[in-house]
Amino acid sequence: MFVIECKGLKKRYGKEKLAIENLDIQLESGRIIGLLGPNGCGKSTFMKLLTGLLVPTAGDITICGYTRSEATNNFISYLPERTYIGGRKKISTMLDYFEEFYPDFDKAKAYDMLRSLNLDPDSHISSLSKGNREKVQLILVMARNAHIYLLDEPIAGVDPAAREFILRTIVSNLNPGATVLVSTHLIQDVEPVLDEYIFVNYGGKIIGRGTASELMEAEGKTVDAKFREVFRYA
Amino acid sequence: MRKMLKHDLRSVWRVWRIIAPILLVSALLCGFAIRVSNLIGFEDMDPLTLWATQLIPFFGAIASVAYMVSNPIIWFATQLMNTLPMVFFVITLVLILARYYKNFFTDEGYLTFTLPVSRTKLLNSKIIMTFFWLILTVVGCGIAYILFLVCSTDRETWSQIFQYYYGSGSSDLPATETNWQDFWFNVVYILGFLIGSVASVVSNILIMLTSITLGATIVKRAKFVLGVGIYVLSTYVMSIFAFAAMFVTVQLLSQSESNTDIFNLSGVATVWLSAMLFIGLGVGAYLLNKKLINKHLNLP
Repeated sequence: MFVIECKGLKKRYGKEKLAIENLDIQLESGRIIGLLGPNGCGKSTFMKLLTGLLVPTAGDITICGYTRSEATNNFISYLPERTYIGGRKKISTMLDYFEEFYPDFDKAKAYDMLRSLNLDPDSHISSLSKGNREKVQLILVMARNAHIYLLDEPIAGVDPAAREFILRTIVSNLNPGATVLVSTHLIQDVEPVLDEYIFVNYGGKIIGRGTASELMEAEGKTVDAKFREVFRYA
Repeated sequence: MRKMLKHDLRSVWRVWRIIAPILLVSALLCGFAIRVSNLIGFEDMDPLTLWATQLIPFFGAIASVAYMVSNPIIWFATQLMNTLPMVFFVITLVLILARYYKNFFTDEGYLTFTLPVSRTKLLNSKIIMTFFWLILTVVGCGIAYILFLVCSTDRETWSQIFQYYYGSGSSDLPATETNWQDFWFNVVYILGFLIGSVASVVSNILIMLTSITLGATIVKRAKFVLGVGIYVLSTYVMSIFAFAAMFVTVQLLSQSESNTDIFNLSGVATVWLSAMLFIGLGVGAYLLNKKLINKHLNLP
């Protein structure tokens, strides 16, 4: 069964800007998929459409066999590009919040992850650095036993050491059978954990799809090298 | 929905639990300050104290200082009690609106709108909480005024007030014959007035929230300020209409031949029409808000 299925998906901003044009895509379960493409090609828009933050102009979205609705948000754990946690709340308050709204939230797992990152659950979010806030947000997202993880630029704002930890966290805390869709520009960093890559061009057009090993066998290239070749500026 | 209500309740309570006691304690202090200031003023002094102050220069000096201080205290306490409830109301209102804006239209929206909760429920929980906090704020202000009055007024004044209202007041009213037509007019009028009052509060809340949503969905910068601006403009336009309606009502009433004054047919019709207008405005604002949040969410 496909965990994500889109047919004729279209998203237009205003009258002129077409972010996604007639996208047909199916994603299988149990895979870590890299959604790779240049800035403004519609990667974030696609994720927002899956979570319901944006309403499609046309087309259908099916999540785990159900038509997209607020109920399908139960299947999706979404890490946006933006940091949505802040204010005078404690980290532990955010864990309680997630536990209350998401039945699949594993609080013990979240506390374990906080410990391994040396983050005090009683510290106020406002006192954390931007990087630490992003880590807390990632912990909140990865501590859920969701069917789908949508990670929009999960390693963009953190140092290389933290990147490694984050990628390890993603892989080691993954619910078996879950699908991870990672959108990033830092292809070299994520490449080792990817099962599959999808190259997306402007307008959300898919111009390449496969596995890293297939690519290496067929062309002797890494995903990063292939990306540079495909999206080379004239 | 219950979970959303709980979280909204908690977040406003965090500030309310600090400002509400400040208001109540200030009301108590202002009340006592006025009472004490009245006591130490010359006019209310008993003859023995007055004689003592004149006889002994030391007491006289104290009494003079007290007299000089008492008037500014009374003035200050009265001004404070005129201002504080309004400040309290404005703080609560700004807090509710800022929270609505922050939860829905800033980065926090990425969390709010990806919860497994429908947008209608999210919106409804905000409306219910706004209504709840505004009612509670009005009640809080009422309690503060009562405390202020109780503390600032002495027993003698209270007994005079009671005597005025219950001692002879009722006997002054002229005896009237029961007029059933007037009675039913009164009932329908009061019912319309009550429904209209509730509808006006609710529709105002809905217009307020919808204005914030409009501001947040149509521009990219200064969203909150624009939202407040839209609300101020809409209330200004509405007040012009309300003034016009009032003018028409007064004209109709002045032309009426009935002796039942305000409880005549045109009065009842105006009250009910206003109620219907407020309900219509509220429903319109709610539907517009729902549509904007469902279809035109403009997160940063």
